[in-house]
Amino acid sequence: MARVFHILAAIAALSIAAPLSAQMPVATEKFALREGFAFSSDKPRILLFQPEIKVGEQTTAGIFQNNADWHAAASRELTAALVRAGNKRGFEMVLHEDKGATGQILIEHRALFRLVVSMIIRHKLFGKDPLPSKAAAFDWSLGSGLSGLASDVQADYGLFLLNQDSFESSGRRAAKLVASLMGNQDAAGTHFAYAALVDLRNGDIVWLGVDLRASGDVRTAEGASHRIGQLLNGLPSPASGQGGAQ
Amino acid sequence: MPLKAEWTALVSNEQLPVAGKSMKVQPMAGWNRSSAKPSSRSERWTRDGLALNELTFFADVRDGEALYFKPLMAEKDLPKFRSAMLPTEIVELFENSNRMILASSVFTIGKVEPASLGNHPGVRFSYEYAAPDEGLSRKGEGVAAVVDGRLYLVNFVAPAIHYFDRDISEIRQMISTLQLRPPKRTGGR
Amino acid sequence: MKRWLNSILMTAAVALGATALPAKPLELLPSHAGYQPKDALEKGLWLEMDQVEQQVRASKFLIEDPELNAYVKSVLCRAVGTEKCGSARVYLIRTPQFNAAMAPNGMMLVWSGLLLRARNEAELATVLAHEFAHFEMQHSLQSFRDIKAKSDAMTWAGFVPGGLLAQIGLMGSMFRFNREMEKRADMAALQYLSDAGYNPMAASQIWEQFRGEMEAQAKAGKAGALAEEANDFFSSHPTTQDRMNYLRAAARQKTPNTDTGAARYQAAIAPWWPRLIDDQIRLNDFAATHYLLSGLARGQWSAELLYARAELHRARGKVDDIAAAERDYRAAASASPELAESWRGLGLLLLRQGQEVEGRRMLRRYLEKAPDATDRALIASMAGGARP
Repeated sequence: MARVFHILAAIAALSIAAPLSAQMPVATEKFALREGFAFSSDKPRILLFQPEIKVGEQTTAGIFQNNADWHAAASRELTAALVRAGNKRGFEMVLHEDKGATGQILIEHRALFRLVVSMIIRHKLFGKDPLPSKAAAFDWSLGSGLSGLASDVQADYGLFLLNQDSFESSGRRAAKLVASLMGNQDAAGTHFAYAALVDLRNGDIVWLGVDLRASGDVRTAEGASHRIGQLLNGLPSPASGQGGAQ
Repeated sequence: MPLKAEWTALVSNEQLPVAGKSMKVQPMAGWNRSSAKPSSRSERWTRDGLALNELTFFADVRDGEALYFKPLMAEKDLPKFRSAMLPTEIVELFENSNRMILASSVFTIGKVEPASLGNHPGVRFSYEYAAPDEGLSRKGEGVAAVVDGRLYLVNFVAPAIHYFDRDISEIRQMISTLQLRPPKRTGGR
Repeated sequence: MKRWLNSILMTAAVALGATALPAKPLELLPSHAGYQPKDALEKGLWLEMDQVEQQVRASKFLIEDPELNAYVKSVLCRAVGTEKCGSARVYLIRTPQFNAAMAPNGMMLVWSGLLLRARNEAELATVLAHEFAHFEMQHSLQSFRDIKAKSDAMTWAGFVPGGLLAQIGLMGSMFRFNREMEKRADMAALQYLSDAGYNPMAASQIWEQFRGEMEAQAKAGKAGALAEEANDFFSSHPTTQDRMNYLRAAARQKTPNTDTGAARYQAAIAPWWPRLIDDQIRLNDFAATHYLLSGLARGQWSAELLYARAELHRARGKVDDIAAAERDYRAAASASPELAESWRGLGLLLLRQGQEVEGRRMLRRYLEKAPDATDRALIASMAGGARP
């Protein structure tokens, strides 16, 4: 029977289980592009939604500890890097501002979006659990629910970013060294990111890039640029026509 | 961790047996069948991934059996199907089983009405629920009939945003052509 | 070393908490307006909890009813005082188990199973004040520091041959640390309860009710229900018996007071009660729910309680249950003929027993009382004759 508990202890207990030996799939960076996709104009307007970011430290035992200063730095640098990268590719970047009534619509679509991305990663991108019907197709969608949000700012597409970084503490590194001497292997912290371009008229996900072991220190301008550059690899530019799905 | 499933494409243009031998349906293009089953008397299909559209067929469920395998972490047994159950009790069995499986009390049955499944009288029910920590609602619709003391049920569930509305008419069409041939046919009315 | 340091700090914190109003606080407590997190670890925890709180706000499990929310907040404010209660943001979560929690950033989560189980305002105030005391004494923060330090040590111990024992030892101390905090929060809550003019006995009574429910569950053979009695090493909370004892003893030292706010409480919960008990009944946990209903009735069975007990029996459906359910449906229907669901339950029960004529009559009565019921089409077809 449930007792009076502390949410904190529950979270700590969950992350305490992060094992010292983790297996990673062979490919760690992938993208997919909707078949036959072409931008609707030469200079598409892209609405950049506030990135979902988590940055912290992995303690010796593998507990994730959020770091507020790192979070603030990473939010600033990743947003700036996205705007720079978008402009460079010939997009017109618009930052999304939350406005009361549309807030709830976006929250619900973000929830759906997370679910859709998890299904794409599972069933399409890394070949772990492929759905036969999706072998030649990349046709996931969020529906047309975001179209009102788009017309408010005359945007054509929406860009979402999720980024999670867990840097190793020195204690964690030392414990891993001992573990590796005893035959265990481990990943160097967790650095995970994905970004997606959504056609805001119909909700179609036109491009998704996923990086399971992303590099670049997102707390710095240079590192964030590196991270975003890698992640957007495969996102077509309006000028250069379209690339193919990987 | 979910069980590792093998998926096969459903491309047949003919009626296909599902969840055993007594239920046959005409599959829709673009759907996939999972080798992982929610119980020994059921079968699951999806189009975009189970979290986005989940279609489950139950056939030949016998007196005393639960709808689903008991989850590893569950403290209590799932409720059991009884041959003598009224249509209202079938809906209740479905709701209570799913509340336990999902660990959710945000689950509301909507319209409940008489319906038929494979030409047998039964019940159709709609519902809406949320799973913990997902931040979104799902809508679902089920059609069930008890024939010769055995339960037959088809259930479709998908996120309330976009997916349910996109797929439901195709699902209803599929259910309307479903055939039931229960093993001991004593003229199920 | 570290343990000593922590417990001295905590004793100081408790002294502050117990007198409720420190004359000259050296530092701001989290319950004071304008308190800000201090070091990187505390800031990180706040950020983490702020992110969780965003999810909670968007959660489909959130009970948004403004009246119910205002009522629960008013109970917290009466208990801990209006100057302090502003530091808490209360969220009601639709989940039938007994639980509440408060995070270091001021987010308080109250599960609807607590609202179902509390019998009066004083019992609700007990649990809210208990969580608030944890928050005020920064127990979560201390736990996190402690768990972090000890789990780091555990990782090292894991590499040492025979390290398993060391791991268990450290886990023991980790949870014992929590038990001390629990007792301090209990005593602080009792002080709040008494200062706010509630019956101080309510603090032990809610635990008594809860223990009874666990015992009932255990007797019915559900594994794990009463395991905490034997398993005091790993339990992060004082055993319920222990808790009842020290709370009762301490309550006797307080000014006697009989105000429990039972009528106010029941009026505030009434619009939600049918949904809350329905969530509980659907857990398929007959013994605990049966005990819970008896505890709520305390000999005074209202139509709603009778109906709930009838549903519980009907859902279990053993031979004796049918007669018990029929008795309760009939009693509920006669106590409050406007409670449409009793007629529905009775009608379905009779149909299932083959008493078709009377069963259909009862279903028709249900449809008269509830013309807009969502199951109208099906019930009408069952009431009309042919059984699908």
